[in-house]
Amino acid sequence: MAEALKGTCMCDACKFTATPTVGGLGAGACHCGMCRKWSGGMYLSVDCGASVKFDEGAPVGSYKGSEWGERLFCRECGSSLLWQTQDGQNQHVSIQAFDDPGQFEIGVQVFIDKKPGNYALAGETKTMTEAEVFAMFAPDADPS
Amino acid sequence: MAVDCGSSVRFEDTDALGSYKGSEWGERLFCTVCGSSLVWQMQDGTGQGVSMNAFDDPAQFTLKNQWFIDKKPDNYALVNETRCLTEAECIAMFAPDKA
Repeated sequence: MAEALKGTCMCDACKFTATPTVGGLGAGACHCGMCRKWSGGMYLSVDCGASVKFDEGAPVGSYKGSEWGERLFCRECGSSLLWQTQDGQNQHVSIQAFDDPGQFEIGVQVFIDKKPGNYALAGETKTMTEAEVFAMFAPDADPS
Repeated sequence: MAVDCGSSVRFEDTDALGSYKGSEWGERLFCTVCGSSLVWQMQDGTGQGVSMNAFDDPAQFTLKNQWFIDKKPDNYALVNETRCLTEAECIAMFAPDKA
């Protein structure tokens, strides 16, 4: 059974536990415009399924940036915490919220075609374009 | 990823602007509605590093520096060739009395 990890925002107001999904999507980098604007850079996250539990009273802000997605962040310090589908599933938690962000292997880069050309990650990873992501996760949705 | 904008940032409307002072000298500005990271600045409003992704064309900026490079986890790195400064070098540059 995978271990529940402790996570927190920059100011420690939003504490939570989350369990990376064994055999799940793992950790990846998202270069889409929304994740870049929201996080300030590329968004590095790990698939934690539906396992995230915030401490009671945590000042978690929520923003629904699309018809299906929702972004949770700390209302006190602005730290990006997780992206999820609006049903609370598919929680992709920021790796930087955990004590040891380096423990996660970045196995995939998504929305690679939306990445500005002035930066790139070193190393070989699987990459997926916007169209490939939609085909895999939301074949009925209109990405436009 | 941020670009140095001095003290030139002007917000049209500050109703949704959040601020967090994470250290004795720094301050982070963000949107309280969506959580977007906007600016890191010195608490006197100078040294404004604006999120490159807040602009319409983030690609127009050339990455020249990586700060706190010794604090970067090992599981990612940029291919960009930049100057790299450690935590000690950053503090010596910006807050020498804290060094």
